[in-house]
Amino acid sequence: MTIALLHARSTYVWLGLVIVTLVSWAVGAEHGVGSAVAILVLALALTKVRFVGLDFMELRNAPILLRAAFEAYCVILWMVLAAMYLWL
Amino acid sequence: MNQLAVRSAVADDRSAKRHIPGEPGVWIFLFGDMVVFGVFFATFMYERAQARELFDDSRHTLSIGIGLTNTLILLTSSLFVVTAMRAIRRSQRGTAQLLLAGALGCGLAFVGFKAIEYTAKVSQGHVPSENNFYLYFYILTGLHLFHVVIGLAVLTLLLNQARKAELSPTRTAFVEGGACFWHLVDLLWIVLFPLLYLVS
Amino acid sequence: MHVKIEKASVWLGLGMTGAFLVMFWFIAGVIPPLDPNDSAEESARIYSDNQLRMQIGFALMIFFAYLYAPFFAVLSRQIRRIEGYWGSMSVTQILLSVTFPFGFSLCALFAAAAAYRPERAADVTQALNDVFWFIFVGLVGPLITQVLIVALAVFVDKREVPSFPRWFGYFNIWYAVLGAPGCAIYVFKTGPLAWNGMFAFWIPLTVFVIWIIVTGVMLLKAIDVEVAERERYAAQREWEPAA
Repeated sequence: MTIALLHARSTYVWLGLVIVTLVSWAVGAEHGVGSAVAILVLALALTKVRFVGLDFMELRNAPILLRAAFEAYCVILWMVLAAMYLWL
Repeated sequence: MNQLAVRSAVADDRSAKRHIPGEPGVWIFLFGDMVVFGVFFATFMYERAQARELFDDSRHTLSIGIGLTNTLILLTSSLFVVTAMRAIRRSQRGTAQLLLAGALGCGLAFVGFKAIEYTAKVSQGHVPSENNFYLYFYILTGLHLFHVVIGLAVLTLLLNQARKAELSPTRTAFVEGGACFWHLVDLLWIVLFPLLYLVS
Repeated sequence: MHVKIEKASVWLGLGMTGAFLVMFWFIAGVIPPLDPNDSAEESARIYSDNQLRMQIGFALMIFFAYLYAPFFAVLSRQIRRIEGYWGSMSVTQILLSVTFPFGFSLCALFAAAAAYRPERAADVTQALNDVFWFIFVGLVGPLITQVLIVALAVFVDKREVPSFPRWFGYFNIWYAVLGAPGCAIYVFKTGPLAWNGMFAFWIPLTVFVIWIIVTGVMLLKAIDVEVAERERYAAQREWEPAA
């Protein structure tokens, strides 16, 4: 019964999130100070956030306004953190 | 697929489009929390810019293994919760309760690992007053831990609700909202882990 | 029911918040906050350099802080209406509302004492200054508890026409979570959890102003709900609840 339940989009998303997490760790653990790798790691993080919102919080089927606000949050947060990393 | 099936599938899609997970009010809280944590993240990046070498050196003294494990634990717990929601919708109460119990276990494991991590750091001499990095490390992870503990209470309530044969619309909204709060806890850690352990 | 007086009480609370900002920010100048890391001499010098404006700002606050009371009287009454009687939720609201004006006037008393005699030892002035911030920024418990009770009341309101929309309950929880870090200032002298820090001062101050404006608007609407309910009772010739 549980196995049948797990045949869903959310499970595949979970798999993707786990892989991206491991990739982030492998890439980001040793990169020194002030490198572009950090921007990539941040981008991966906010992409994971996006999928958690869309497929775990089920925003994919939410009113467009709510979904757009969430996606905007992901983009804006990434831009702000990346900008602060590079230019402060 | 015949005409009727196609039309009903499209109708399902259209009505599914208009569903707010939980209730509108929950999103005031969730978005509010996300925005304020965003401010916290930005504050951390600002402090980092004032002392890049210090932050990078301090970052290397963190136990990245525990951080990574905790990230995977929370991701798995979120999977359990979203699958439990689907089980509830199909009235598979037993499975839903099992999955929610699993999520609860993951949450407890997270807290356990955090306790181990904090103890290890403190015994190595890394206390909040050591430097700015550790000050923010303890404050940000502490605030997140506070959310996790609240999340554990919410999961327990959801576990209770999953025992009922049928949920009223208000109860369903509450359960969905509670699930979204747990996903928020996961979401915040997804940003915190790379921010503190990788990007610093 | 004196609708105009009830609504005026709400507006008074909103006005007092503006007045509080004027008194503490523009007149006394304690917003932006002093630095907890300053030495006793530095703190004492700030008080003696700005003595007159600080004394006036604090004196005004000590006098006017109690004008917050009617706002919280309305809040307590609306909670009582949800509860149906003077139960633990609404009575606790009243008890905690009693302490609310002191969060402004009591701290101002200490600061006024700090500014009173610039010729005294700097250590004494610093100690009085510390207490001002400990009360002003650190005493968050009463209001946090109040808003959690409001959230609880909003969620248990089972009447046909509720006084508050459900999102207002979530909004109060949001405020409680963000206002809480103020309690940590007793342990830190620098950083975001010190009394001049981002997490312990600026965010709680911002969310407090937002909270009082939103709650004020919600109370005005709740009063309208009450008026409609009383008219319904009157039309059906039913006894209306006195409180």
